[in-house]
Amino acid sequence: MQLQRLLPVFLSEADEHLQALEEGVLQLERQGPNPELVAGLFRSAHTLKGSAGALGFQRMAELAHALEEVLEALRAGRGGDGLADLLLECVDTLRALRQEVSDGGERTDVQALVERLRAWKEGGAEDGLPVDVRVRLREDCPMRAARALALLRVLREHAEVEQVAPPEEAIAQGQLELEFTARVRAREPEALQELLAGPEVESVRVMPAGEARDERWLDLGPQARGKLPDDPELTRRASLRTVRVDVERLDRLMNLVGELVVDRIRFQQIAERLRRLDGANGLAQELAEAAGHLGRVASDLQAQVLKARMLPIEHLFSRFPRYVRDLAQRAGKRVEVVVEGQDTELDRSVIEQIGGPLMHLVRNAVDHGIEPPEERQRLGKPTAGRLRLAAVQEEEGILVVVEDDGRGIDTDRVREKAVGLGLLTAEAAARLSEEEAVELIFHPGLSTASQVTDVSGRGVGMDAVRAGVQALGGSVEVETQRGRGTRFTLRLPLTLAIVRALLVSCGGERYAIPLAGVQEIVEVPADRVHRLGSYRATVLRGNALPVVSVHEALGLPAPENPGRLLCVVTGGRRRVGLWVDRVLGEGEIVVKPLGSYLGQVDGVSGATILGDGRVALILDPSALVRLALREEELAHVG
Amino acid sequence: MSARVLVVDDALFMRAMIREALTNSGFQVVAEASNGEEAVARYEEAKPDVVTMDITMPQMDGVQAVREILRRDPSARIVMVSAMGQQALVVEAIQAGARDFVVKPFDQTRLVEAIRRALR
Repeated sequence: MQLQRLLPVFLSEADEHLQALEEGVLQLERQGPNPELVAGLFRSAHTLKGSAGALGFQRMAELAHALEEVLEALRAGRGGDGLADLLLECVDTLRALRQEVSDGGERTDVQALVERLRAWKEGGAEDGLPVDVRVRLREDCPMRAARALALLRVLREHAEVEQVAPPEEAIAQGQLELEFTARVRAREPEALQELLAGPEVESVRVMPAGEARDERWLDLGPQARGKLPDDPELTRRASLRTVRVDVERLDRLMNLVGELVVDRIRFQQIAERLRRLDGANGLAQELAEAAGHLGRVASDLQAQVLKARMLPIEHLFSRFPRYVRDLAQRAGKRVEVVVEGQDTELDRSVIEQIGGPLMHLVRNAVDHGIEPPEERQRLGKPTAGRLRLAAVQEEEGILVVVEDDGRGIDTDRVREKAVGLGLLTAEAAARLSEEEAVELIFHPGLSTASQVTDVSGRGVGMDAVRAGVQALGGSVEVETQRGRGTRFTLRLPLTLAIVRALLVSCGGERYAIPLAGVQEIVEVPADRVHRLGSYRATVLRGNALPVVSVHEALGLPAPENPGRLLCVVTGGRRRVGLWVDRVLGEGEIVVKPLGSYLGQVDGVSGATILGDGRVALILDPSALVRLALREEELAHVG
Repeated sequence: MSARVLVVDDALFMRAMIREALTNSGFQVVAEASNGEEAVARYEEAKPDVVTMDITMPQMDGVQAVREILRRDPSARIVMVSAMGQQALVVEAIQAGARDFVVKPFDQTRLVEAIRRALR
């Protein structure tokens, strides 16, 4: 730390440069840029950057660097409004940082300002919004480092990559497990997901750019979750009481607990049989008691592991105020973000997967919902629109609400568009209730077709939002009032690791159907099911209900005697009747992904181990509905 | 118009296999080369849309050939065909500008997919 001796020199020099910068900016504002003036400013910024960097004052160096780049652009002839304000803010922030150097604090965050400086340099609206793209490779992906670099190369062709974690050099040297995250700016961030998908890629997540923390690591313990007090002593003590655990380790733990639960059930069954065998023998009773205790411990353990996987939704919500600010600025709107219930906890995997859908909804609210300030004023509304993001825990899951006080969904226009696109006839559209007309926004044809804005780019993809949420076993509802606003409510499960499911048997095989997707079970005689080619349907309370057997839906040979029970499952607003032989009961099952050997099977979302040790496939209701309705379309064409 | 491909590999067998996989998927193999130097020369003559490039070859290896071809035509699209355990070389090739890679032994569909991605 030889350099520390030079600190007083650095500080007094910094004061001089800051003074020079301030005077220069004021002069710039009065007289406009001239080469000599700009060159002087540039030198000050450059010197500050160099010395701050040498002394390890990263934030100061970073900000000075961004300032330098702006001045460079100015020197190259780039002009624009509001520059003086931005530069003065920069000088003020540099001053605050200099103050922190002398008193040892670390209060000032420069990231937002640095990004604004960059945005100015690059001409503002031309480039997209910053988003984080997290790519997870499959376990069996060969040459992960090379694959990651190849994907980054693709990313670079479609977006401006600002930052990669782990850094590219580290990846090239093989320091990559399965995930990397890139901070990019793209005009169409939603399109990136599809672009990067491939057989070696497990998942691609796109979410608003957030603080660059590595979320693969969860902090356990209450102290780490909430905001820590500023007192460094408290922080130090609190950190001693928490450990950081790799999330993959938690996943493995969860898996093991799942097995334990299965063993517990087997123990209980054995104890029961033993009891019947030797009646009064005390040993059987003792075994039953031990098995019962094992059961309670296993349940508690399961609950604790589930809890350890939970994160407050703040991890996601905290990114939105900034995201909305940027969106609003580009759309020329004023939007105030209200965030509620950020302490609500959700399973990490759920939080990861709702980022995309929430971004869609928020974008829509800003682009299409909230009116421009002038219009709002004319309507007697506050000029700033209000966007509310809220999370509430309910008994069975979590509600996430995205609500705006904008113009609401214009159902007449939605009807018009649907007719224009040939989705329905004008008469059918006119017959739709308001509620049904609103539902049209989830139709794939409609939601991707025409709503083009600068900010949203091509399409808005409400169907993708619904599909994304349904894939998690959740649902999306929309309420809207013309002129008053729109509210989307996402119902999400607390966790993806355990679901309540209906157990059924079909052709000797057992299947689990998540209860969230099951509407009812009805008995329908075989002669009440009508055929149209390969498509079958019955009439349930006056409405046609497509009917499929599980075997048909999964493309397996049909059983000889199909059952008479129909399990009505839903996907979106559509439903189908699933033909099953028997209903075996319902219960909580531990979801396990299908091995990579089987890969993705359409209609099946995973597998579970039943109490007797047998494996049951978990059916995916919304995928089954999709598969069944494809048959329906084919039947209508044919 | 089907995409035109240059297949580079020192093993006749691999070239034949790649040719067959590509022809079956509607690509047109317009030239073949069995080493890096030849690859550069064939590239200049045939100006293919995409190249499949083996790594270990006599005369000039695949990574060097990638650099050489991209020096002459920065828009060249090259897919590396690598044996297992050559990750460092594949990384080098991608840093040099190769678009994608497949690892031997590969599924024909993987190769075709990689080529389609490179052409995108």
